[in-house]
Amino acid sequence: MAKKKAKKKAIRKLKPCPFCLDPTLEIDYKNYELLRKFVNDRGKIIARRNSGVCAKHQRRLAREIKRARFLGLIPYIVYTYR
Amino acid sequence: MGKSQLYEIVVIFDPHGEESDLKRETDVVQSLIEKHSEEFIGRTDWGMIDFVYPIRKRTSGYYVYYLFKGSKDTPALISSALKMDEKVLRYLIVRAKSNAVEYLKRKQQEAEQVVRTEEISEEVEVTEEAPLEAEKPTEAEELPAEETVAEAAPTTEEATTHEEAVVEETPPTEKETPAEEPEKPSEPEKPETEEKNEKTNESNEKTTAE
Repeated sequence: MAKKKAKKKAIRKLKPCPFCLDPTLEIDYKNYELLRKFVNDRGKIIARRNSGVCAKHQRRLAREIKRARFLGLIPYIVYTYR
Repeated sequence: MGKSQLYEIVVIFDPHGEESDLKRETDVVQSLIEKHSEEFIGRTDWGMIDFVYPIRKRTSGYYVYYLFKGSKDTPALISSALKMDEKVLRYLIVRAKSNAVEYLKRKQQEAEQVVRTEEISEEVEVTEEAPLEAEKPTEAEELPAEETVAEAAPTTEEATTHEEAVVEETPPTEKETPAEEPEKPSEPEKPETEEKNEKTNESNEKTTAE
């Protein structure tokens, strides 16, 4: 019988939600400088498994980012090729 | 009649043309909102903002934020009117949050402060123009001389301080040397300074020995 390799499960420490920690942070399309932190260099919304944002705030964040995109304050897409 | 709601509109105006046209256009939209809404609360001008991507071949636009109360039919009425306006590049009507009124007040206060500071800075510039011109040339003459002295002196001083550090760490001796140093820059010739440094070293060693 072939021995099964014992797989090491990577225990990832969950990041705390920045909006739950600091209630003064306002998720709003008008506050687009803050929203830019939750968009990667390609202009895509960062997944909450990477950013650590909770489900409730991620829903609001996505909605406000889309509003800011429509107003030309945040890019839809960023082309990185030369 | 339905329940009245708080709405906010951000309108992007085409900046192409004269400033007076732009102001007139923002006022036209305001009067339009006042006409259709139940209560017009206020507006703030965000000013010219560069677009992240071009909108209708424009690279920047003039943003204005309006806040008003209205029934559920008012957004549709306003949007149909704004669609006809050629000067409006884009607009966004959303139901405002409860803190929108506070935001509006804060922004209006900031705008007032900016206007005040601009007025003050303009007054200061007018008064300071003449004395500044008179002072500048004298500063330019003085600076080079100071720089040359400063450059010449530290080379020898640094060497002495390093040597002291190597010999022994004695804080009191280090304190003595800076008192003598200010005399050196007045004598630009190097050999004399070296002799002095040697003397200082000797004096330092004596102090350490004691």
